[in-house]
Amino acid sequence: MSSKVLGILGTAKNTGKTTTTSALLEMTTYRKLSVGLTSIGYDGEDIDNITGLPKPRIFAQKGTLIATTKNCLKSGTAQIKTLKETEISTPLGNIVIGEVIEDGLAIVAGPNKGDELSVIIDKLESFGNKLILVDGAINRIVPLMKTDALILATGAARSVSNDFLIKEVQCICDSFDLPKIEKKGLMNLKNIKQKVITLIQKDYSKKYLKTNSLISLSDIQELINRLNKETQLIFIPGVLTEFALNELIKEEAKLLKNKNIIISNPTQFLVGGNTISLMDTLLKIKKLRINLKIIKTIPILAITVNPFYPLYRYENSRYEKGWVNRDELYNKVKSVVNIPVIDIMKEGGNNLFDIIKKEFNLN
Amino acid sequence: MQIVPKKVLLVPLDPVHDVALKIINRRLKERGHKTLLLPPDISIEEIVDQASKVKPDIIMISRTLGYGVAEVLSKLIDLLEVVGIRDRAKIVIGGKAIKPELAAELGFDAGFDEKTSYEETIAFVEGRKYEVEEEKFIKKKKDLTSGYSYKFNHQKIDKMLDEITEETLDWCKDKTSSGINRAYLREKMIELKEQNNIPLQNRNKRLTSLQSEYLKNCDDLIIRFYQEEVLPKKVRELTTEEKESLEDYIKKSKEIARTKKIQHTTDKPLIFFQYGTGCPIMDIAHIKIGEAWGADGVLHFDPSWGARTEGFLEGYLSHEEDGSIITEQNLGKIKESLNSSTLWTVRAHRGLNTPETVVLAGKSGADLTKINIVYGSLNAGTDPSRLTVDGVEAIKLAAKYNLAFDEPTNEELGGVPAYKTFAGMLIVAKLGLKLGAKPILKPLFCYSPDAMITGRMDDNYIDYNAAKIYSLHKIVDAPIWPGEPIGFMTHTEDRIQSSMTTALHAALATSLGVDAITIASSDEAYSRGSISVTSRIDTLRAVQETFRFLGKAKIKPTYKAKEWSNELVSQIEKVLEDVLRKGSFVAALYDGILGSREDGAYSGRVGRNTVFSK
Repeated sequence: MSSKVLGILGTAKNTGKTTTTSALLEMTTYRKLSVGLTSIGYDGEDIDNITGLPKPRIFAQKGTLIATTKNCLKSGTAQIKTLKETEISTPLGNIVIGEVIEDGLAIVAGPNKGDELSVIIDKLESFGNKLILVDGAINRIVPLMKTDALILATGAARSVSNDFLIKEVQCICDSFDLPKIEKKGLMNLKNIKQKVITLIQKDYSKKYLKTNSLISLSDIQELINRLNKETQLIFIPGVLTEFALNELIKEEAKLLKNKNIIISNPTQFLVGGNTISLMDTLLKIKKLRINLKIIKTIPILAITVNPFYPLYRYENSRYEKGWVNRDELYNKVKSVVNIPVIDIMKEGGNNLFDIIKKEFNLN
Repeated sequence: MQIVPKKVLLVPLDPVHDVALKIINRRLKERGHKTLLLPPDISIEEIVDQASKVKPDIIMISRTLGYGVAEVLSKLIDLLEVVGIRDRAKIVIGGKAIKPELAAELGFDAGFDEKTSYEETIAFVEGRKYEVEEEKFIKKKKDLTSGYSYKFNHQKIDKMLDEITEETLDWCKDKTSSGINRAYLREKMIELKEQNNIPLQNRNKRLTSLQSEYLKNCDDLIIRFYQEEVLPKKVRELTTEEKESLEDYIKKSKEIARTKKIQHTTDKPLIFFQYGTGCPIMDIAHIKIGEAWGADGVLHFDPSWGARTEGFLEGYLSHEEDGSIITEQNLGKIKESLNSSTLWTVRAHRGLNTPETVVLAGKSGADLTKINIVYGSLNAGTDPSRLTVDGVEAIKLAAKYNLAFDEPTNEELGGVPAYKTFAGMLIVAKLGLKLGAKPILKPLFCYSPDAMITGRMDDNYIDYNAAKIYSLHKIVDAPIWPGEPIGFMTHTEDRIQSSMTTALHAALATSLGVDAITIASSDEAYSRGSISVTSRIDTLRAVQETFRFLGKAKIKPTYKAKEWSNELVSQIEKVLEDVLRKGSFVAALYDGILGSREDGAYSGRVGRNTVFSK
């Protein structure tokens, strides 16, 4: 059986990614499931690199496999035996795969590029792990597209405004939940080079438009010039910034009605825009009956919420611990999504683990 | 190595702090790289757009961190990855407080902070392995006496010193003391312990016999320790746990230890500091931290009662007050902790254990010791006859163990004029040379009572200190190491003032080309207890900054310096004539020729009538 890979995606620093990862680690030990762990950032440190506030630690139990850097092996208290060295380098040295031989705290710094994450996942898989956990970094999203499913961690550290948070959560969930284009509709689009926008007409003829990877306003203008009533589908392989997307629907909204705009995956517009205004744009697209579809997506299994935030004190230039009202935050988020919402600090990892177990069919 | 030109995109993401990138830009261009420096404060989309066009090999981003900036930087990395640039280009973040851990967290390939050298960033661009300056710089232990001929430039003084020291050696030749007996017994005991070919039982038997002989030469305080296991007040043995943590501390600190050169473009003066917190663990902490901040050498400072007591204790001992107890075990651990380049002095100069201290220093692997019969007799409380007999033997032992010895002239702090202290120092130096040892002259850089009374420092602290060095140069070609510490009596409770005055005296020392200096911590004069490590770092940093400021430039003393140096030489000459006239060095000490009661010197009483015939 191949491994299942779970990514922990955050909306900002301190939103609860590592707390979620730690809770899941604990559950895997409790439920006797072999687990591999890595991170696309730097996790398990005692003090936050920016705020100076204490951070959640990662307690690794015997038998856990960890992909981290050579330098980090020495920094934790867990005894980790190196099983395999890799050529993947990071600012903290090359990544190694190790096995925890004595319980203790671990510092995890793994690959920070998607392709390198795939290599590490393959290596962890080769050791027979049923579940691989990938702790996220800050608000990074792109490398986590190499996982099979995500947990989204958000909280007051992103914003102390609940309205902001729920709009962002909605935006991310809706983006990942965009309809996938059916296989037959793809018409070999997957093989088309990046940087080439493809317009497919009703007679299946294709028009190509060379662009930059980051779709610019002039690219959009060029696209609009080539657009006509016969256009049935537009495939946009590059990063569609919010500005570009707004420009497209502003100029030729009528022509795009009932047409398919295909993008590779939700990150292609999530990384290019502000989630709050992007949400408005997505609603506008829906209203205009433009069919925005994606080739690949992965499910978000649950959302974890964290009322903690670092409160900056101007009088002494230091951060202190701050909290928003936990219940208000939890209920507001719950009211806008139809996936489970969990407060790990209050509930522990049990419910979340059951969700993952069900999704991944883990026994 | 041929440089392969790289395409580098330089991005000042910060609205204001782009100086570092501009410097890197210039340096990269000078080395033939193709660079594009973007204007400051542009959007991340614009950066990605430019990167897509330029197709750089390296992207260097500078940004000061604050809350929320991490999210912007991570988003930039995500954008660069999704458009395919991340796989092709190395991406670096630079800025205040950027550590490799943070760079890893943010998704960058490297992180540079304000301490990163431009050479390192260039090496990163060129794909070269960068050797950290400290690592590239292998600190080697220096011999302070190397290159000196010890030739006297002043013939008359040379001749007088010759006569005085002949008389002194002759006076000493049939005399001995319990201190000398102990020194040789200690030597035998240590050598016996080193011999593995003797059966254990026999060895222990011989050790017990030597120890019993040793105790016959000791004070009650020491005898009670060996016979009844009673420790002196405020002394205790380290616990097993403390000893284990000490071992661990030494091991760990050696693993991470780095040395650095504190001097800028000159090789001297070497920087020494004194340790003696009372606790060997704290001492080692001070030493390791001092080494890390560039100290070249350390001096072991023992409790003052140690000089008044016949005999040494044994074991890993901690002392509640200033001064760290000399034992074979304490010294052994301190030696173990030292970096191979660190010069180590164990002072022996002033008390009843002077020869035995030299044996312990020699056997423990010290590089230097400290012997000055005159200072020890006049201001440190030891009887002149006893210290002359013991001092001469100690110098012989220093020669045997190849320990150069410095001669502090701290009686000047009691009020003795510099020229008298210099006359005494030169007599002991000559004794050293006659006995095959290597003396190091140690004039004080201080605001001494005599300088205050005579008004020689009313205008500045430069001229008279410079005059001291000039005068010694006129007399002999020997190493000079002002101490102890420099700037004595110019320090106040104010740590900034204290660091400043130490640093300025260090500048003067550099300018005068002396071989070494001893510096105080910024709280040394007023610590009212143990010296703090942060204060130790204060002065090391201040001195380093002074060296950076001064480079090879010189401080120019006024004409007074030359004038006073001539005066000092004549005054030294006159004192030596008086000693000769007296006909006995020891009598000269008793009679105040080398420092009188009026000057503020009192010949010591400790160990009076303890010299006996061989």
